[in-house]
Amino acid sequence: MSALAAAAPRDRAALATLLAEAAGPVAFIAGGTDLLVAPRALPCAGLLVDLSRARDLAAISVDRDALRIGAAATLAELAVHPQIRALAPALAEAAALCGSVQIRNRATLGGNVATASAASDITPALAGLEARFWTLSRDGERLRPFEALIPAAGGSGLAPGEAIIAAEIPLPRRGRSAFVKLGPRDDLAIARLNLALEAEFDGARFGAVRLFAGAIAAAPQRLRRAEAALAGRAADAATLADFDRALSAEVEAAIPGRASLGYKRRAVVGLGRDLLGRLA
Amino acid sequence: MNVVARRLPLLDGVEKVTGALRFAADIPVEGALCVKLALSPRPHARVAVLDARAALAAPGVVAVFWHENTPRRRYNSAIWAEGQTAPEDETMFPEIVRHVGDRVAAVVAETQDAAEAAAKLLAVAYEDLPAILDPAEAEPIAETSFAVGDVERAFASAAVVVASRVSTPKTHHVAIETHVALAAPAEGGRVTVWSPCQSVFAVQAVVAKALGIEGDRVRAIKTPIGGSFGGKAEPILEPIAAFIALQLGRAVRLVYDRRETCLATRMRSAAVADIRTGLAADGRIVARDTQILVDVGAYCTGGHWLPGSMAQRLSRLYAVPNKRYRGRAVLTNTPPTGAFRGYGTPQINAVTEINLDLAARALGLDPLWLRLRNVVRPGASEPYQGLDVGNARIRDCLILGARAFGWFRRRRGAAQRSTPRLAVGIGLAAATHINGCYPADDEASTVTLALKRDGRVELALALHDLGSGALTTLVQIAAEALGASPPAFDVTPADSDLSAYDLGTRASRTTYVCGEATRRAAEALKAEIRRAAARLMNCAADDLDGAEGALRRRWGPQQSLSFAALAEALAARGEALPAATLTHTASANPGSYAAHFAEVVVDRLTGRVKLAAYLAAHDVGRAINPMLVEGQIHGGVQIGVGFALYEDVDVDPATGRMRGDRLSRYHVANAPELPRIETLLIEKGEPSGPYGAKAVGEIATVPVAGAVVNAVNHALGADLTQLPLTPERICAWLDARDRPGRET
Repeated sequence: MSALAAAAPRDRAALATLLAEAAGPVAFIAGGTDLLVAPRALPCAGLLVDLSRARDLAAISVDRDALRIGAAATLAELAVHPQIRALAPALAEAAALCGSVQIRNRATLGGNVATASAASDITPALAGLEARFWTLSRDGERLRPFEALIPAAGGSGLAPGEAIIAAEIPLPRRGRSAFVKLGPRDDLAIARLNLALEAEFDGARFGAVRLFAGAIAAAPQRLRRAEAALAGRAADAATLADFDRALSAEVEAAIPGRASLGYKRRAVVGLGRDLLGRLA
Repeated sequence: MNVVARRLPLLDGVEKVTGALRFAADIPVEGALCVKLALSPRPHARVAVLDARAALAAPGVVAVFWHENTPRRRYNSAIWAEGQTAPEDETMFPEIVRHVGDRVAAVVAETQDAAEAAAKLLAVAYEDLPAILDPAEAEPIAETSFAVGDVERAFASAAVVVASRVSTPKTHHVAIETHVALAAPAEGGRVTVWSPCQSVFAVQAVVAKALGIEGDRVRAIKTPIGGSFGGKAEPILEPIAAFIALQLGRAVRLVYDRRETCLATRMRSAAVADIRTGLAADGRIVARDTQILVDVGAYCTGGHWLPGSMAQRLSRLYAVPNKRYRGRAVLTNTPPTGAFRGYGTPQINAVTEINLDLAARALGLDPLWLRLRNVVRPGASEPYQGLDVGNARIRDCLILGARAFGWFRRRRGAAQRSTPRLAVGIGLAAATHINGCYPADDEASTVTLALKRDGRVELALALHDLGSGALTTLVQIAAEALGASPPAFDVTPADSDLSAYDLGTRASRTTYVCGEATRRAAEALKAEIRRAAARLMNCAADDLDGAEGALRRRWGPQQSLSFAALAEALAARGEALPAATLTHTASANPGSYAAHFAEVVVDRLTGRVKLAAYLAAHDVGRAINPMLVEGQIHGGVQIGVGFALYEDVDVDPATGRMRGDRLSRYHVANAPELPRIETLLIEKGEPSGPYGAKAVGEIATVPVAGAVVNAVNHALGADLTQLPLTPERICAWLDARDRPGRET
């Protein structure tokens, strides 16, 4: 078996050339916050491509139709970026709560999505914001829907040799979004449960609502019953009580028989209230 | 006081923060062999077949050791001196493994990668044996009982009797530096072992015992330590590294990773206690019955001492006229336990302090007032060993601590500051801990202080600074007594070939025992220096005062002589330089005392506990270095908060596997979880301590769980007694209260 070769393309074009010319298996690394620490091992052979040096893959830009976030943008950058905070606050909030300061300084948007952890903070936020992804492989660039890369069954939908190069959130966003997380401690914790919401408002009433939960299934789980408890209704006590009940029912349906059910069924109510509190 | 009471930075602090200090794993050892241990995946099994052929055939592999080709000699890793006896049930590589993580084999190779790759090639067949994972089903290995007064009659007379079952978890030390040992063969069939240990003489004794060689064939040298907290008190890897070095005639480097340190070293023992306290209507504790079961895990280690240690700590906090205690230690097929900051005291203290608050509630008394009514007085004699508790200033800790914290104001306002969702609670706990091993017969420390030719002073003792600042503290004591400045000292680290015997850094003894030995040795050296200087200066020794590394005449001609000039003059005359060696044997074991105060906010929906305010009041006798004392308190609180709220190694009761074997699953309290920790030092002086000082390092972690749990129970009106208070446990209690009959 041949040894592992490494490359660090300086931009998208160099990456495209590299992929087109690569003969053997290709693996990718960006921040290294998963790949460089146990228990995951680096590949032993083929080509390892470091995406973190490609400057244009870290760009964040806004045009009429979309907010485009380069895959190599770090979570620390996402957390403070003014346009992400303004247009997609759920993503900024999720990025700010992911890992620790040190991890956020290294970890990238693309790396988080490619890792496809069931407890990811980033993917529920992206799901709530109807994100889709641009990928690059030797076959060229492709626009892939969220479900194609983050299938409901879990794992990553990336093909071998396919790298995420950007996430794209369609604009305009008609609603306000927010993200909340429940971990075993305040910081540096893997989510036990998280929620990402985007809600439109019609005066004092909720309009359309998109709500996703993380860490209760292999991939972000859309909570349609809880969405229905809010959609089109006045933001009053009766609605909130229905929302509480719907959230508990969603958790019961998602993790029946799991040891953590009793706890999460109660805690999700608190998390749901925190979530709505962030929209206010 | 010139040097004592000053906030001097750590003498080795710059080296540490600049990375100049070399820890054991960073020390380059030319040609050292690397080792990977194979650990048992079974909780109790016989290693029926171990086929090492594939591993031995792998590139770079030098040897494989397991029970068939290593000494089967049994030893106990908790001893600290040759000849000390303790139940011997550990072997380097047992034929019958007793816990998941027990040592099965060692693969020795030229590189770490080769050792790790080859370890995967070992083919091991296990024959499973029945495993005991529940301490309630296990046989005791040690039991301590004692009783005072007429307990049943006192209970019958009590206004209230409150019974609680309190349980505390097994927890990891989580030192940043994982376990490590280096060893190399030396001349004369000897072996040298370098390790970040708490006692070089313990390393010598345990290695000699495990290998069946004379102690003087083992030289143990202490390396800088990246955190211990008791975790490195017992030599674990040292015998294996020494054995391989002698066997193969080459240097050996054995470094555990985090998971191995979690699975195959030591941790805090778990405890379950049934406690009953009887109170008179005026708040006096009239009777107490404490039954505690301690799960020490797969090997005895020092577990047989724990029931007695707990009895000792239980006996010196409150004056209880009628009491009964029974402590039992049991072996289970779970990872072994050992010393951990407080050595049993955090467990027994959580038991009494949580129960006492529930008793205060039952009687409608303020918990602060209840404690003030019952705490021991200075000079009291404790009933377990009959020792004098010394200048026990627990009342000052409680009264002044409560005032500084705003106890009554916070407590009264807690309900008002609560919301339907967020419950505010205020709690406190009192605590005591020991100062050394007295009345044990080897509680002594020997210190040599010597003037060197360049005028610097050498301080030599078997010192192991665990990162607490013991080195800086002892130098401050010596500098104060000698009239020298702290940077003028060179400290020789512990080396069993060079240092006088000392039982090591344990039992909160360094400042109190080694510090007093240092003070006395410095006084003796000062007398020597003054005698020598008086001859040179042609005056009486009594006329000379020492300060800042020089001697001055008190009267008459303005004349001064620096230590350096004195040393030079003496050397020029061919005279010996002044030196003093002194052994100080402890003759008391006073208590250190503390009261901790916590305010928490409990989220009734998510069960999360936020520490909102914290104050720790400590009776330290005198703070030799207040900054380091505060640092010890901050670190002690950090460990205690984890013990109260987050940490549990979480051994599966069905399989014996540990869930908390990595830091992504085992959560300590980090800075974001901690509030600003206020400290209040009570400095009333302990007559037998150096400049009045006594211990703080261990006791700082003792009252934390009690204070935090009591605050949570106050917030919710709950009676939670199972540590840690995870959000699940808090929510389960709330669910059961909200929906009686549906949940348990």
